[in-house]
Order: sequence, then structure tokens, then C-alpha cells
Amino acid sequence: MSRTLRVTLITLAVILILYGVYYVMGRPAIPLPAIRYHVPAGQPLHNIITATESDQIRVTLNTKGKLEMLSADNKLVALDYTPQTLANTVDLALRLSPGQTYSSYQQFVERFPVYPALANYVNQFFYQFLPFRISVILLP
Amino acid sequence: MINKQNLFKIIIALVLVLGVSLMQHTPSAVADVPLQGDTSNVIHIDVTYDPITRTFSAGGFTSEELKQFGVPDLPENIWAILGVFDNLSLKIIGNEIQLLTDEKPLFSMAFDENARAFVYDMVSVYVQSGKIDRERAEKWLDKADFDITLRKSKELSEPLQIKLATMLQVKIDENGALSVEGVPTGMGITPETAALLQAANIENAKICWNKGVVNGEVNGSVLPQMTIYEDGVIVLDSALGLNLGDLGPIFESSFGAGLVYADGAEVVGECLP
Repeated sequence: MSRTLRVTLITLAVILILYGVYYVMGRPAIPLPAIRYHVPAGQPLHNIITATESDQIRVTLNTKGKLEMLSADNKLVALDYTPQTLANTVDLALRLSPGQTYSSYQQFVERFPVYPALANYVNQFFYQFLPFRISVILLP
Repeated sequence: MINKQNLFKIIIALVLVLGVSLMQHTPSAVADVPLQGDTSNVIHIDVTYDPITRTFSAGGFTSEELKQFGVPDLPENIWAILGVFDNLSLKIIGNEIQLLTDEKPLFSMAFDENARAFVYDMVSVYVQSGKIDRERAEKWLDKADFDITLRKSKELSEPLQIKLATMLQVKIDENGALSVEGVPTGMGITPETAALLQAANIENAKICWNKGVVNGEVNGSVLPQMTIYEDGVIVLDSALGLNLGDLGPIFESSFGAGLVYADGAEVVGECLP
């Protein structure tokens, strides 16, 4: 057996062992650093942020299927999705989008027919196998 | 060499075990709203009134809040009738109508098929938009648990209770005119919105509200489940100056609507709380 094959097999085994441990732990979403964003005054979102007690809104996306909007410890809105319902929403949003957005998207798909399957694969991958959690902190 | 062979065997065994365990992995899914056996249409409205100040409160809303919602003042003859009673209660439960005054039954009548047919005919005479849809009316009344209580009191009325299993049928015709359960509302959507719905090929939609949890479908495709918290609406109310008032009754209610655009298929099913 060649050295390259051995290294590949061992690497594969290590990855699988690590993923096995992660799986046994219940596949918790991997936290990514939060992004802080200052919303300029005059925008409707700025008024919403300042209307909260904490003067900040945290939008958290957990790719396991949850999007939440929180202010301090208070939940404001939550969205629970599955890959299917997310795909339905994107499709609806495209159809309702103004102008030529939907027809442009259709032309893009005609040119790259693999795109919908690829998008679905990425969506499923981060939903089923490797979920992560990212937050955007909106500040006035 | 033997050690290396054993190492490979262990690695292959681990790969197989983990592979099988991953294949047996069950994808997590959004928890559905738990379905309950109670599929009745419950509407409990408590009204308190004060004939001296000529003010009334309904469903937990104050007189001022009701005025903001566009509820008109009661005419004098109604106040004259209300002044006579301390307590008046109208109940429609299944096949029976009861009217109670001061906790004593004033009259009770069977609200069976014949009685309902009579009421439908009477209503059809007075409704200018045409005859009422008996099939829809039966659907509502079959599961009816309606209760309107009027109490002579200065205190605030109890919060509104609405738990509707049957969906309201809302129709938007080609011209954008909106009707609810076949009754024209006089309202409608703008031509731009109608054009957008047509271009997007949207035929129907189903929206169910259950104490802040919103489930929706468009053309039969399920959308993500949204949970709106009372704190969130209070923040929006304060930020945008909407003056929404007491949101408690809404966040205690369950109801839904099936929207049909133009010649779209009727939305079937129920909103089960």
C-alpha cells in the first residue's frame, strides 16, 4: 500500500472519528464570530433598534433551521424552516420580486442548470450535517 | 507489518461503523403545532356597559380603543333596552340557541336543520349581495360554540376568546375586489398588487394564526413557521407609532384564512389550534 493511500485513509478515519464524536454530542451548531453593524439614523430599522430596552437587536441564523431576532433576552420573532420550506420561500420571493429578477434568475438557471441542485445540496449540508450559527448585532 | 495491518483493519471497521451510524441519522425537522382533538369554532365575547356614561367595553378593549378601531357609538334605543337588563347572554352551542337574562333563561330554541334553513332564507332576503352560502354556513355552525355576554358594569370586559377551526374563505376577484365568506367587503387590492399576483402565478394561500405562531402555504407549498412574540410587536408598535393597544386577546386567539385569487382552487383543510 502506498504512503499516499495510507495518509488518505488515516485522514479520512480521523475526520470520521471527529464527526462521530460531534454526532454523538448531538451535532450542535458551530458558533461563528458575531458581526456588529451600525444602522444609520433615519432608517426604519434604526427606530426599531432604539425602541428596544437594550438598544440593540441580535439576528441569529442557526442553519439547523432557525432564524431568530432577539433584543437582550427577549425574543421578538423566530422563523423555523426546513430545506423544503426555505426553498419554497426563495421561490416565492423570486416570483414576487419586482422587475425582471425572476426572468433573470430563470435565464441564469438555463445557463447553469446545475445551480438549483447545488444550492439545494449546500442548504441540506449545513442543515443536516454541519450546522453553524452566526449572529449579526444591529446597533444604532 | 502485522501492526500496520491491524491498524488498517481498525480504521476500516471504524469507517464502516460510523458510516452506518450516519446513514441511520434521522434529519431533524421543525416541530409541527401539536394537533388537538378540539376542532370547534369558539367565539366568546364579553361586553360590559354603563348606561349612565353611555360607554361600553368589548373583548377586553376599552371604549376609546373600540372607537379607534372604528366601532360606532350605540344608538339611544339600544341603550334603552340595555338599561333594563343587568346581564344578557346569547349562546349558540351546537344545535341550540339560548338567551339568558340576569342568569335566567329567557328562551331556548332548537337550531336544527329546519330552523337554520329558515334563518338562511331570512338573511338572504336582507343581504343585498345575494343568497348566503348554506354549505359554508353549515360548516361554521356545525362546530359552533358562540357566546356573547353583556354585563351592566363599569369594569373592563374580559379578553376576547377566538379559537376557529374553520378557515375564513377570502376571495379576491379579477378586479381586485375582496369578499369574505361570499360577502363583499367594499375593500380590495390595488391593480399593481393584482398584476403582481397574476405574474407570480399565485392562485391561493392559507394562513393560520395560533397564539402568535403563523403557518402559511402558497399554492400548496408550505412556508417556514413564524413565531411572533408579543414583546416583538410591542417594540414595533413603539418604534413605528402604530398604537395597537392591548395585544393580549390577539395572542390568546387562534384563527385562519384561505385566500383565493381569481379562478384559483379553493383552500381546503382547517386551522387546528
